[in-house]
Amino acid sequence: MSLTRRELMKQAGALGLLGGGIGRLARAGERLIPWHNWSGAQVCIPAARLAPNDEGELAGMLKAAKGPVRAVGSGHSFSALVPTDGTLLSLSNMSGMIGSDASRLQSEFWAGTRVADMGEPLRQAGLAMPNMADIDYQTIAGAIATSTHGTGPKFGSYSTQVAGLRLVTAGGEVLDLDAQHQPELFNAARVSLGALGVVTRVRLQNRKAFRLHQKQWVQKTEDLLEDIDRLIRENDHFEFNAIIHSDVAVAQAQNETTETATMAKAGGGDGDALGKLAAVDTYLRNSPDAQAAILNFMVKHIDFPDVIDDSYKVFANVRDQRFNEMEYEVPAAAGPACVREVIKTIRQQNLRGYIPIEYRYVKGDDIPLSMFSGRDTCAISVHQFYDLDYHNFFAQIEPIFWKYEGRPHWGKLHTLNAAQFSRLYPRFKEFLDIRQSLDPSGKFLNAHLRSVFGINC
Amino acid sequence: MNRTMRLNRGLLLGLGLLVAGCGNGGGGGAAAPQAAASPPPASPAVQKIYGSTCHSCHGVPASGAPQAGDAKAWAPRIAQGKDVVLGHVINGYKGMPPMGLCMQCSEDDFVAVTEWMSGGKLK
Repeated sequence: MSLTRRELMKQAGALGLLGGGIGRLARAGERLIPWHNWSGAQVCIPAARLAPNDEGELAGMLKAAKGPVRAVGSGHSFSALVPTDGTLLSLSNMSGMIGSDASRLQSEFWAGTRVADMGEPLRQAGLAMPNMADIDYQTIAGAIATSTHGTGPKFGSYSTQVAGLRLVTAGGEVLDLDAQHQPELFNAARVSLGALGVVTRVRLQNRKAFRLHQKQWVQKTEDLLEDIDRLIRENDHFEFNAIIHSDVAVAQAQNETTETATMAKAGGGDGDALGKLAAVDTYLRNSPDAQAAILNFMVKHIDFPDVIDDSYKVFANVRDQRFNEMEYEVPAAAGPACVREVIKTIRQQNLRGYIPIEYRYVKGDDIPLSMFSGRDTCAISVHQFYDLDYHNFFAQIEPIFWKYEGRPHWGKLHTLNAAQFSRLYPRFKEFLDIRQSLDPSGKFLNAHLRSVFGINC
Repeated sequence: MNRTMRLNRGLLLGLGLLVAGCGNGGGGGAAAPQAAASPPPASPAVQKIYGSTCHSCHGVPASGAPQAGDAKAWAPRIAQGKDVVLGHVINGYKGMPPMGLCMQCSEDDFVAVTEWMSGGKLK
């Protein structure tokens, strides 16, 4: 989309942007502020950046907007879900807990609430999310739009915790959706990539507040894979991070506990640990055998203290190092073979990188566009530090995921389009039909989504 | 430098890292910034921006980011000047995510919240 200055002024005026409104255009001499995602790899310069204060204001903005409108949460998606030269819409002014219902174990939040800000109010209400991702910087709307997940074969993604939601459509209509009210639309809206409208409120099915005991240890990756069935059966939440260019992984098990003595997580983020891996990469990447020997020795001697605390404090981690990520969801049974091939390829081709491979499990669901739709899943993620080029690394790995019928995480980097998605998702057309009926003009589509859905104009 | 020398240097480095790694409990060797003294009260607009975005790093010492009210930690950053600091805020720099995750903030907003957290004046 391109707007002339006259059109831009007209649109801004219609939205009340001029004269101290809710957003505004750059003044003469003031820089145009580009939007970047968290990693910095996605960028755009939107014509308007808006932050409505309530649903009425939002509905007015949607009706008035002429170009594409994309809602943004924390910008934590690595894929190009957000970039637009039209309107960028933030719900940061619509955040916080709306209420809770202890008898039904449910809570309702404004959609712009960051997951990091949900744990404490839930705890005060005696509630908790049954499972959480290891990063909690996302907004709840962004997390459910992309089927963001934690780990544990008995637990689905955040989207499966949604019991109801409110959707404002392209025409400004406000829809309250749940299993009793327009159930097909509700199910589609639980993972929508922001293509059906703007979710403003999310009602969650919680559980009683609980505590977790986390154990971490270092073990040979191959030994963990040999024992994986037992590990995921005997632990509520199990995952491992395989140290690339080595033979070892850091395993992590989190289990519900009644222990009351708190052993809080140590301070600090990933920076120091990743700094050590980066240093080994810098000096030894051209000597793979020595690199592996050092990494095996070094990682095995790191001490990982147990953690016991409220669940939301144990699930989440401080991620102070930015990176880009590609993640595919393969059928659960294919996980070990797939990750073995990924690890082998990285090592054989000596691909440049040092951030570990994350290996997790997620329960299947019945949501049309969920990566876990219809099948229990193993999630395998590869990463690249934000200032290193990821293209060659990811290009070598992505075909391995395809071989195992992998579906890419919607919020992470991939190169697929509608042709592949129509084969990977049995209910793909069901979602496309719902999207077409709600947004026939494609107001919520950017270039990336047009490619994902196979819509040219 | 021949291959053997490179290898030996690498091995020594790795062993050095090992020593460093054993003592820190895997949680990081560098001392995390300490919680700073509370900065002076902010305007409602600045407080709103800080509370919804900046706080998750600049109010959490474990993040490694300079903490709100820690003028000493901010001083060398502010000394780089307004253009450099704004460039880092808007485009991201090292651990600092672009725009500090404030998707609707204007340049004036970024300046105001940075000056409040740092206690300094961007020039």
